[in-house]
Amino acid sequence: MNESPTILQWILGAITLATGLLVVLGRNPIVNAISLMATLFTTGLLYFSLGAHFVGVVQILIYAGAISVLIVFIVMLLDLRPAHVRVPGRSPTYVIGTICSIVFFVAAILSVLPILKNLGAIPSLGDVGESLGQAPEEISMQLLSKYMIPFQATALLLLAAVMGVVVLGKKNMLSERKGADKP
Amino acid sequence: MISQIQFLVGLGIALFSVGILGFLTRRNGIIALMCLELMLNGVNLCLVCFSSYHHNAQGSSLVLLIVLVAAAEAALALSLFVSLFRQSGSVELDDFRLLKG
Repeated sequence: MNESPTILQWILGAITLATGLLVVLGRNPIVNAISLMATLFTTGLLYFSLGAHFVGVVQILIYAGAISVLIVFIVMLLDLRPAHVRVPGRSPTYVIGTICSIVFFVAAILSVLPILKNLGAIPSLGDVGESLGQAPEEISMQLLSKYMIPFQATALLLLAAVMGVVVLGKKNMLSERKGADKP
Repeated sequence: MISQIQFLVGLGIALFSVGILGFLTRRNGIIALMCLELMLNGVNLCLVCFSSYHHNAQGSSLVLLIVLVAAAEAALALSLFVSLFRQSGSVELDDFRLLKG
């Protein structure tokens, strides 16, 4: 009944968790960014193992391909070196943050996993290893019928983000305008 | 023995709490942004897992929307950090305490 995770999923899960920890614990920002890329990539591979091919492709293209490359680019542009990044000492924030995350982890695991135990196994995959309901046609049917308004709202959000980036990227736009007002 | 769905949801929860740990302890703005992406990633993993379990496309379409929002947020936050770095030469969040009373 309870289908146990495959060996591939164990390996991918271990890599995901290890690189995720490296994002947090690494001292060099480049190392953090590269391990974030590895985390996003292995999560995409986990989606493939679940039969969600389209979402896996999107994850690898957009997350591992675009967002993390953007982060690496910015880290290199700002020339962040390990010396510039302050090491969290034994400050109260550090201790409280650690305690909060551990408490959240234990509470969520203890409350969620016993409920999931009663669920059956994930249904077996189809002919091409794709899970039912994960094909691009079905996802786009959902997006264009039931989730039409959120889908359109993301278009507005992207437009606003592009305009915001242009405004922020223009050098001293506000101060120039202020200077133009002066006689 | 844990089942597949327990393993994957547990992994998603673990990624989310690693993100919380980093967001609360690291004070560098860009590393905090990376931890935000990590938290979104953990949530996405749980959504895809349940979507695959139910043979239903709703979770996956929600994941696509989350990826879109994360892309917009990353672009905006990074350009904010670039302009902050231009002004003050630092992206450490502790240096920006003007709003603190």
